[in-house]
Amino acid sequence: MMGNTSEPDPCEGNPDCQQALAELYSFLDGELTVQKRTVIRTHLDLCSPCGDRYTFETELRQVVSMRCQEKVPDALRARIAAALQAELER
Amino acid sequence: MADPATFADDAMDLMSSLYSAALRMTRNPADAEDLVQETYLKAYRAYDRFEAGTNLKAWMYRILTNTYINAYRKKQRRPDEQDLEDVEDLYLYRRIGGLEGAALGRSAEDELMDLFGEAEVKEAVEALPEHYRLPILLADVEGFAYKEIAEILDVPIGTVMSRLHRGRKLLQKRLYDFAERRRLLPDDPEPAVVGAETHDET
Repeated sequence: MMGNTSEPDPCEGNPDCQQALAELYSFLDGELTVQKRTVIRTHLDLCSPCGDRYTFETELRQVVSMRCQEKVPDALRARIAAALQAELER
Repeated sequence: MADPATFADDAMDLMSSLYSAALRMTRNPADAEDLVQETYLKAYRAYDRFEAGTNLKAWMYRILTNTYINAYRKKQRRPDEQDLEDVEDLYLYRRIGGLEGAALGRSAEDELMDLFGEAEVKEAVEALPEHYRLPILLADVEGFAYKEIAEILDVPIGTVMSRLHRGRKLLQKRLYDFAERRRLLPDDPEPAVVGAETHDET
C-alpha cells in the first residue's frame, strides 16, 4: 500500500503511457486540444495503471479545492455592500 | 463597457471565491477582509473600463492579486529550491495511491478527505512560497486557464506552467509530510517520538 516502488511499473517503456504521464496536468487543466484529449482519454480507458493515476490526481485536486472554500463572514458582506452604497452616493 | 449600476449584481456572487483566495494569500482573516473590500471598491471605481462580456471573475482576480502584491505582501524569503530536488512527479500517488482499495465501498475521494483535513490542506497551501501559491490557487482551486492565470499574474504562460508543475510537487510533498507526521497513514513504520514535533498552534 505504501509506495510499492519495488514492484515493476507496467507502464515503463510504453510510449503511450509516457505520453499520458507527460500530459497529465495539461489534461487535468483542460489545456489540451480536443484531438490530443481524445487520444489520452482512449489510453486511460485501456490502461488501468494510467487511469488510476489520473483518477488519483483528479480527486486530490477536488479535495484541495473543497478544503480551501471559505464562507464569507456576514459582517464583511455587509461592510462591502455599505462601502459600495457610500461610493454610489458620492 | 460595463454599467456601474449593475456592478453589485454582477460581482457579489464572486465574494466567497475572492475571500477564500484572499485568506490563502494573506493567511490572516483581518487582512483578507480588508483586501476583499479594497478589491470591490477598486473594481467598482474601474467598472466602466471592464469590457462587458469578458470574464468578470478573472478581472476581479487580477485586481485582488495586484492589490495583494502591492499592499499586503510580506517580504518573501527565497524559496528553498533544494526542497524540490528529490520530489518526483506523482509524489503522493506513489506513496498512498493504493489507499483507494483499502476500504471497500468507499471512494478514493472519501479516503483523501479523511486523510487531509481542512486544517492540513489550508496549512499546506499557505506554506507554499508565494510564486507557487498564487498559480496553484488560481488553477487548482479556482479552475482558471493558463492564459487567464498568465494575465492575472502578468507573467508568461510558460512561467505559469513551470510554477504549477513545481508548486504541485511541493504541495504534494507537504501534504504527505503532514499525513505522515500525524500518523494517519496506515503502515507508518516508526511512530514519531512525542515531543519531537514542532508545536502546532491549532
